[in-house]
Amino acid sequence: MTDTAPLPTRAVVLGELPAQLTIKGGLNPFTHERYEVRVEVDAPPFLRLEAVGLDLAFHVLDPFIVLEDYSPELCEDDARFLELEGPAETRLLSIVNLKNGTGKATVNLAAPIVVNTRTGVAKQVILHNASQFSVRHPLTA
Amino acid sequence: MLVLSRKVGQALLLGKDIEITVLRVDGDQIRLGVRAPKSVSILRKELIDDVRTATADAGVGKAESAKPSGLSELAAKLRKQTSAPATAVAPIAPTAPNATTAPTNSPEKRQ
Repeated sequence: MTDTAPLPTRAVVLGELPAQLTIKGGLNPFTHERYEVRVEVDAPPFLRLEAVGLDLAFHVLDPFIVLEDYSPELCEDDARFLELEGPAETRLLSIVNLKNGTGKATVNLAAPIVVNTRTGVAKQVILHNASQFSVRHPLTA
Repeated sequence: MLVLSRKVGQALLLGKDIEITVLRVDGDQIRLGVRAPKSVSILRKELIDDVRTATADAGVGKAESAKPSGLSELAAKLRKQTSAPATAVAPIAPTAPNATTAPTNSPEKRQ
């Protein structure tokens, strides 16, 4: 029995994300849980999570696009919580930080949002191997 | 909070499976060794605070997120650097697995 759950090892076609997500526990410090997934039509591969009924939004990215050899390890408790049955229904979204402008954009690779595309339930998870990655990974060299 | 004192070389046992040993004390820095099953996640506490701060910084109002200046340029740079898809792919609802989506120029295949 493995201690960490299997995750996709390569970037996947983004079309399989559900249009709405329930992010259990919210995105600390924001407790809101329901979000709509929107495409940034002028700026692929960026996506936007828009809170339903609250003026709050985040830009997110598939972390495998940022780091091709990204090797996230998920704790078994988290995989069980999300009822993940395998990599085919698992997607990761990493929060993009544009606070200091797009020139200094960073992405959180240590704590991605893990999505069960079958159920539409997600959770922001601190990876089992979080110390290998940066909370503020720069997006451009 | 349970407060205990330990000398270098002494240990604490948490439950049946977790052992923390004080390995070395160097000025204001303490070196700890942790023995625990692989299923137990061990994190520096400041990581949780760090994630919270980063998320707090990242969350914005919808108007602000709708057209961040420079995002298309950043996206173009990112696509050049990596093998990111050049065309946006629309998310689909879970009940419509066969909904058409825009094809990507270089779809990444999962291993």
